[in-house]
Amino acid sequence: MAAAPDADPAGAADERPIAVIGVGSPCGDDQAGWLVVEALRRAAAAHDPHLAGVELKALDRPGPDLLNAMTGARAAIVIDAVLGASPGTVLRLSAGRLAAGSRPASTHAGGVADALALGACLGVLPPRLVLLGVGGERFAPGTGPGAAVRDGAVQAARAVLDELRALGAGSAR
Amino acid sequence: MSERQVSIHVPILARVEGEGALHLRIRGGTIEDLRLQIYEPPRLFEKFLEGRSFEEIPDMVARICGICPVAYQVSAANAVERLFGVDIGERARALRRLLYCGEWIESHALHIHMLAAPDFFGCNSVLELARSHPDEVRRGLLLHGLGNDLMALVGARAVHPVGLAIGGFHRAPDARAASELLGRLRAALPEAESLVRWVASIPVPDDDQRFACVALRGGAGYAIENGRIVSDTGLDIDADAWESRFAEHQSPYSTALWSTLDGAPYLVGPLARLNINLDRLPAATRALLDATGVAFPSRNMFRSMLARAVEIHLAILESIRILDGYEPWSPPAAPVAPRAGVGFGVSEAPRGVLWHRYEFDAGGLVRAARIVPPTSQNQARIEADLAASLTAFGLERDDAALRLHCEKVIRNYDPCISCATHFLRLTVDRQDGGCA
Repeated sequence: MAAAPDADPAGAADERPIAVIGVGSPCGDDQAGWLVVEALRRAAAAHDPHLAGVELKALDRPGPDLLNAMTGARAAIVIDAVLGASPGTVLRLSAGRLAAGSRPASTHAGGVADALALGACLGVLPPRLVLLGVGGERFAPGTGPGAAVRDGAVQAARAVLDELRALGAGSAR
Repeated sequence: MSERQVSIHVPILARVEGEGALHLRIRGGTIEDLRLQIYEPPRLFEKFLEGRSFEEIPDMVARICGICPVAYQVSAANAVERLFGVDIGERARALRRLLYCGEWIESHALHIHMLAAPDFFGCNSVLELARSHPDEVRRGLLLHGLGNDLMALVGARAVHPVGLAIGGFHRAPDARAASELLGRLRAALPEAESLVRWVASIPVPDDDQRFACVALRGGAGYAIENGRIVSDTGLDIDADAWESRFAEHQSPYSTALWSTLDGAPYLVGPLARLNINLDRLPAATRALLDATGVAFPSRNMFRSMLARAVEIHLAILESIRILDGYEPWSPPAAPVAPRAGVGFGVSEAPRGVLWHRYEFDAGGLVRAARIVPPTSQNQARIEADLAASLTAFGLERDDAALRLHCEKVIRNYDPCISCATHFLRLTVDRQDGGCA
């Protein structure tokens, strides 16, 4: 497929990949990020043109490895479950709002906000960073995600495809 | 001179794994009371294991810790396989060592960069350190990610891996993925060399103390996944003789058990390991350490950060050695037939010796389990260290300086309180004789 001219106003096509990263754990609604990546992997297997050359990653803890997962990418879309929104609601978040409103759940590794703050200090964040939150309410170990979160993950996967289109991913490039 | 009385209370210790506190009372220029309080609730893992099949143990004990799950899996597997008379074979042994190297790299890189190093540069967190030392923090992230990826290669995922089975592994890693990681390990070796030189260059207090070091030793290489329990005071025993020399007791202010060797505190962890296994370092690692000019064996706990850096270097070298020429094999696990009895297992968790004991019935169900993690073994040593180190530092210093020094001393041990209970709130009870 011939690469279309890059939408980058600077001119030259940016060959670096776009990373789509779902953060989650096996605990109930915290699987939201993983569900989104699973849905996108199915779409990629069905040759969705916007997912060509897009790196789909499911992380089991955000921490410092979130930065490694987006290193070298020209853009990153991070999806995680969030508290404080109705279950299944998809939110587009700013890094500032996330940092102000979240706390690491464990001393073992910081959360998404801590990792992004560290990435900003180190200057390793991709030029374009999109954060999508999926509202969750139950995070008990050994439970599956609720129906609302499953529906929300489908909507979030569509939102990721919209973001990828806007970023000029796949066939749009 | 007025009789100054000091009371410091650190209610929640920061930059340690888990929840604990420190209480310190100084009266008349001497420490009157010093208590490391671990208040995280007991986690009762040993009771959860009762009645479960031997096959479930690796996945269950992995849940004890998100940083060092492999240590729990390997100590448990060593105990079970030894009792059941299972020989997992050279390839599975090498793969277990590789999995363990991944955990050492990940855990040590996290501790050096996220938890310990900020103290030595006047920073409150890694965010501040990242502003003054971005290249070093970037390197730390790279190494941390490499360790995690190594764990994921062998264990199928980095957190609570599921690849290890009693008898070997559920699946041998894919050759192409192993080859890709081998390339990354080779590329990271110069980074590990730079890390050792950087950590060695960080000024640390002169704080030599007397203490017994306990670590595993055995085979031709640096003990990681198995070995005999050895001390620099003449101890040399097998895992099954642990209870004849080591004892655990309860303290009224801690939910973690305390351990003693022949009734006295002792040290486990990277510094103890390096002191005992200096002659087992790979030649390249030994040359790198010698070139730093820092003398080992060391009696200065502030050198534990360098010991961790050295162990990252050796773990990368070991991983390269194991992966060079790696081929998957099948079946990746030896057959296992349970039998009744008691099995003992030990390995070197990132924080030190991790001892397990399991009693099984004839069907392989756990009748009783006992797990002695490194942080609980170090508790008594941490208190002894704090008393000596604070006295050397100067009890007349202000509360903030005393508190920071306490936290630095404690962080030298990289305590994992969640494992031990299963960390720090400091209270300094300081009363000035003239004003109180």
